[in-house]
Amino acid sequence: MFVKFLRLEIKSFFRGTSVGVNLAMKILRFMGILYFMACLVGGAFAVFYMVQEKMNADPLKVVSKFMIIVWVVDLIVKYMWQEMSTQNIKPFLTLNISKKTLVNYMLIKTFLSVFSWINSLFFITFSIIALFNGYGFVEVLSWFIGVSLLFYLNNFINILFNNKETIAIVIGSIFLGLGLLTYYHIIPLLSYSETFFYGFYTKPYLILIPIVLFSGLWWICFKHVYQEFYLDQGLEAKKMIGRTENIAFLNKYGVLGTFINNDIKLLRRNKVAKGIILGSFLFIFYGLLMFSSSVYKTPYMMMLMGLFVTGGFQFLFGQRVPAFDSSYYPLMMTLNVPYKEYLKAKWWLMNIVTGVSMIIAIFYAYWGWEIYITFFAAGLYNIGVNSQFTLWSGAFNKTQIDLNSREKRIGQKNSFNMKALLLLIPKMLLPMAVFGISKYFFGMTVGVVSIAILGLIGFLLREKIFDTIVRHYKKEKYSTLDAFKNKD
Amino acid sequence: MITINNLSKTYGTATVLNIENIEIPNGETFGLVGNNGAGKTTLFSLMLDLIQATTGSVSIDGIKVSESEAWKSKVSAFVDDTFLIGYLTPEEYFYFIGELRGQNKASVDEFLKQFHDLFNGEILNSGKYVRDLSKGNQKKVGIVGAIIGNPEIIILDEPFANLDPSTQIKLKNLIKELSKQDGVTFLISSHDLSHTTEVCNRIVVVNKGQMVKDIQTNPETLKELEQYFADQVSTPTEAI
Repeated sequence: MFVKFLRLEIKSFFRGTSVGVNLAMKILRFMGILYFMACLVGGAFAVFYMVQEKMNADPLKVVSKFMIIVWVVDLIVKYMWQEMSTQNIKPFLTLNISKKTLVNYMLIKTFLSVFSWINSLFFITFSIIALFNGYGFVEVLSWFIGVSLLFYLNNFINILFNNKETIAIVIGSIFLGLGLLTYYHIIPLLSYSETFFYGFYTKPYLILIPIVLFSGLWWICFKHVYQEFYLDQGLEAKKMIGRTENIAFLNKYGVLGTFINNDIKLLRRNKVAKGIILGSFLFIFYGLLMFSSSVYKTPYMMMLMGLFVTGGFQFLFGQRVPAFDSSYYPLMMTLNVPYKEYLKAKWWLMNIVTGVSMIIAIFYAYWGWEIYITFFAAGLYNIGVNSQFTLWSGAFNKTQIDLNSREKRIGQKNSFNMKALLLLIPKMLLPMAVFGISKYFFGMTVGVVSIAILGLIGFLLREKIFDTIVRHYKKEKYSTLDAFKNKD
Repeated sequence: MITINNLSKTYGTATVLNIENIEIPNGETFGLVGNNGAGKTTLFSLMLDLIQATTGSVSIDGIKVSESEAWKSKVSAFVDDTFLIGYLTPEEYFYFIGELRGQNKASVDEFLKQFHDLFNGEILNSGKYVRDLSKGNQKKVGIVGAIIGNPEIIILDEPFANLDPSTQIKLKNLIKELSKQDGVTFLISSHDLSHTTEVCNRIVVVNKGQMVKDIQTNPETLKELEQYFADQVSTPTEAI
């Protein structure tokens, strides 16, 4: 039975996500996955030999010491992004398959997700290296199984506590408290971690603990899911309560206000869009990278960071502009909607957020006004120039976004388009070059002013650029409609 | 007035629609019947300029839909769920459409009052987003949305499917009323012969992309249509 299920999974993998993605994208994605795998495998080597040679310590011990942190991070990541997939289960419910099998299938399926197996790559490699370096076979095996089981245990914890926010907050606060206590050396959590995880190596019989925990939680999870295995209970997505709302003052701006209102609702009520909000919030802190390496301290890189810090939302939202409306694009195309108004509404929304980001970014002034002024100039460039170019590149993005899907954001495919890539030149390289060069020759003030002037020029030319985008939209109307129709 | 001229749509070698000439005068309730794959939705999509015609054109009041967007102020449509915005509440959806058709909140509220009965208390103030409504209720939202703002031409694809019997009757009354009082032109496609003959004053039958019948509705029409589709079934069996 499970072999049959597995075959279906393989089909859904190859026929689902890769539909409509062109070859270049496939190769790129494949290389991306390879890269991550290589990172983890390479990381295992690096950790092992670094610890052994540089620190002259027992790698297994050191890894065990920090294991508790990795474990907690793993749990948090799974809580945030991993969801038990219930979508494909419905067709099986009325088939001649026992409920038991189906529940186990769903549980096992969580192990197949990337979040689950990707860290195993590290542990497997690490254990193999350990074996080659004279660690005992039984002991390493016991350590490996113990650690792996504890990590896979997180899947069950996630299933039990997902959607129970209060419990999650309580657990999160406990983690935070423990973290602080450890940080200030009040309790030696890390050495507990070392004793515990290293124990699997020194005393292989301790492996019974994770085995008991794992099978126990499996059993509890099984019962929990089994009980809720009905369409109106566990198998149904939690529905949000709908409230009619409206930002009244926007109504003054006619069609423009209607569209902005609608976009705000779009961002607030869809999971996919929420990821964008989180992403743009994180981008505000992108500038902190400058403390990681001196590479980022050049004017070019400062400008690049400024563009990202102030324009995170713009880049994430703008390049999905028709795509976000893909699920009701035929409606948009038959309504009496002037394209320009539609684009302008998006443009205003992006620029309002960019403006807010510029204000929030003021905390960078703590590390020097020069940094903040650079970021501020980048913000002006984002508003004046990039807002248009981002909308333009969005017009090439014909990837359908299913807003109603419960899938969380990771794994959302991005379309890959040469023209959109070319637009990166005016978006990123031009301001970097202008700022870098003018600052080098004439100093900070001229650098900032020239970027601001570029922004102003873009701002003044915006009607022209809008016209070009509108022409593009009209030309591509049928193929966009067609692309948005293909549901996978 | 809608004019269809030498309209055809071809995908590869398959011609899915080929219609020489149809004229639909203002105020007509035009029914389009045919089996699955006959080309009903294709025809509507061409009228709404959602797909590109291979040859020929559709004109509304003398202006080709593929060349000017002037038709958008006259036409409204509900074809399928891609005409719904899932993350809005039904009210917000109506306001959104209403505002784009020049209405304001108050006039939309006033307009919605007459549908109190049709909505059966399950749509307005239900605390649900459109995406969480049942298929039937989604259909009601879509149809009512298409009527907002006094459009001259309303295109409905399969409006009776998924609706309960009472709602089907209410919908038929609504269509008759709007066409009589406001002179609205309706274009309705359906699989349901009796509903279609009841509300439409003209019925066109399409089969495999061709127009095979064009009837002004009369008391004999339902029988004629039933006979036509019955023949479709029996011919192949006799051939075997």
